[in-house]
Amino acid sequence: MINYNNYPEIKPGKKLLKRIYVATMLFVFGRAFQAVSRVDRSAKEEFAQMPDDFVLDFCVVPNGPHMIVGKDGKGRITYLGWNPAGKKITLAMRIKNIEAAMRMFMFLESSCVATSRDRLIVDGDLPTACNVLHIMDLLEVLLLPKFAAKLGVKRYPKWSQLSPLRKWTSRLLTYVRLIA
Amino acid sequence: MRSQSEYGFFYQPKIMSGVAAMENIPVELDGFNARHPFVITSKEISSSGLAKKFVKALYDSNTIIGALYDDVPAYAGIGLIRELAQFLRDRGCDSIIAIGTGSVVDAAKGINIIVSTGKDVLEFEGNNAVLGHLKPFVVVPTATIAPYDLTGCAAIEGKEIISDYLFPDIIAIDTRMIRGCCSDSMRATALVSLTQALEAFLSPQSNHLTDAYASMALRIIAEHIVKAVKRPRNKKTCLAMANAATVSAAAFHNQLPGPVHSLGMALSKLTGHLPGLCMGALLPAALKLRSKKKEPFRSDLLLAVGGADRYAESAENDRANKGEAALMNLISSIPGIPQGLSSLKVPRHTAEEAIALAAKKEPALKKQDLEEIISMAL
Repeated sequence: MINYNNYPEIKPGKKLLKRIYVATMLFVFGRAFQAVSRVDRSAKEEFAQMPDDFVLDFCVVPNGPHMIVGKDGKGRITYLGWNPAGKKITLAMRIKNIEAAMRMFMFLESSCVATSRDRLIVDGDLPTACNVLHIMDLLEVLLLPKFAAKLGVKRYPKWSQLSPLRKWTSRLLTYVRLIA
Repeated sequence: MRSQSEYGFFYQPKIMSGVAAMENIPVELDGFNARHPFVITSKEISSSGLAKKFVKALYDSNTIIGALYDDVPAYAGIGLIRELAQFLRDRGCDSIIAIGTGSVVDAAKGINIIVSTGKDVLEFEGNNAVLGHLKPFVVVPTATIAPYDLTGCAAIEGKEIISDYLFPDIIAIDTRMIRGCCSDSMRATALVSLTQALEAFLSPQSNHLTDAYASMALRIIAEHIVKAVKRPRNKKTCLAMANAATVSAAAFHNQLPGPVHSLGMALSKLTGHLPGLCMGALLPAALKLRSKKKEPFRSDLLLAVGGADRYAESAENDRANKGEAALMNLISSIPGIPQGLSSLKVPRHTAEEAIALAAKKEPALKKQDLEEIISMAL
């Protein structure tokens, strides 16, 4: 006879440090989404293609953390915090687990590689999700030094695609708006 | 090409392979509305720390493990399977996860039949007796992968149960779990995959889909098998071999087992050797028999085993012969491959028993062919 007491139920533990890291990164990226939408030309073009009621929930399943970004009444991109309750989400991009989120936000995998490795679930309009991924790549280029950004993006932009002047201006303004 | 255009093909599992594959299990189980799995594994896997790695992979999820039973022996009898099925019911679990190989996976399939159908598992012996969906079933393979692990077959109490519904729903091939412990287990796993893929590829009943799976498996095996056996703890080659095992299992399940597989399984049952080693000892003999009978090899065998460059630079008429030569080279280059049945110390009377067993199990196989393979291998 099997002694049931030798095999207890196992409740899942917590990866607290990883959750804190991912939550911090999502907070920074959320603020950076708002900042870059006001300072960079290509980001403005990407955001202009999104619908007026656009609200993005970028999160880790099942228990978060979340990053909510959306367009306000005037069509400007705004960081709406970490709590999706009461918000009408039009696009949900869910990372399947905290380890996948860590790999993305530690830039061990680019968002394209993560998508190809089935680490993301997209619920909503696919072209808009592609726009979001383009903006995330741009943010990584602007926020991170080149050696780190190269790991996180599919292709680091050449001079002809993003001139140093534009890169450094957008980088500076994004950082200023991020901190302010 | 002799591929038939009229065929049936079935392959069920969702395969997740690579880094952090186990972490996806809760999300995938959620898709089946299951959050309370019953996990079974063996003492060996538990003591090597792999069970702990699995539990850690489920951190930060909604999945509560109903019980982690880590005492499945190398031979799981019907009594244990019935007890575990009752244990699962008592804990109210809604899915099953098997970590490991052989008896662990067979036991998990048996438990799943009992708890899903409410009947005893031995009532389902034979082909396609299980005729309904079972509870969500996940397999997390480790370095050694047994012939039936990733297919819709289970061997319980010496009886075989074959059904499409016995396939795992999810196969999570995680880099942390599949690192080989030793060359022997890696060699045995690789030889089973090679046999399954090769017999599916060369079978007269092959079709477009079995060809696709079998040729892909052969390609992966040809590229990695030697390195995997020499360096069984190399992550990249272990992952490749686990993927080859998964792909070849898909081709194998959709074909009748060939003579080498059937004889290898019978010999393994009678002698206690790993099935892969028995198949490896018989494989060269079976290929020689094929040449002796002047059954032509397929020209695209060279593409699968020799690579695209060798295929492209060979004249069309030479490809079949070169494919055969490349295959023989590949087999002979596997370090430590058994040189015939004598190297496994299989006596003639046991080999004859194996012929009778294989012929009884697979009536479609010609007994004369089985006898010739055995006599050439002895």
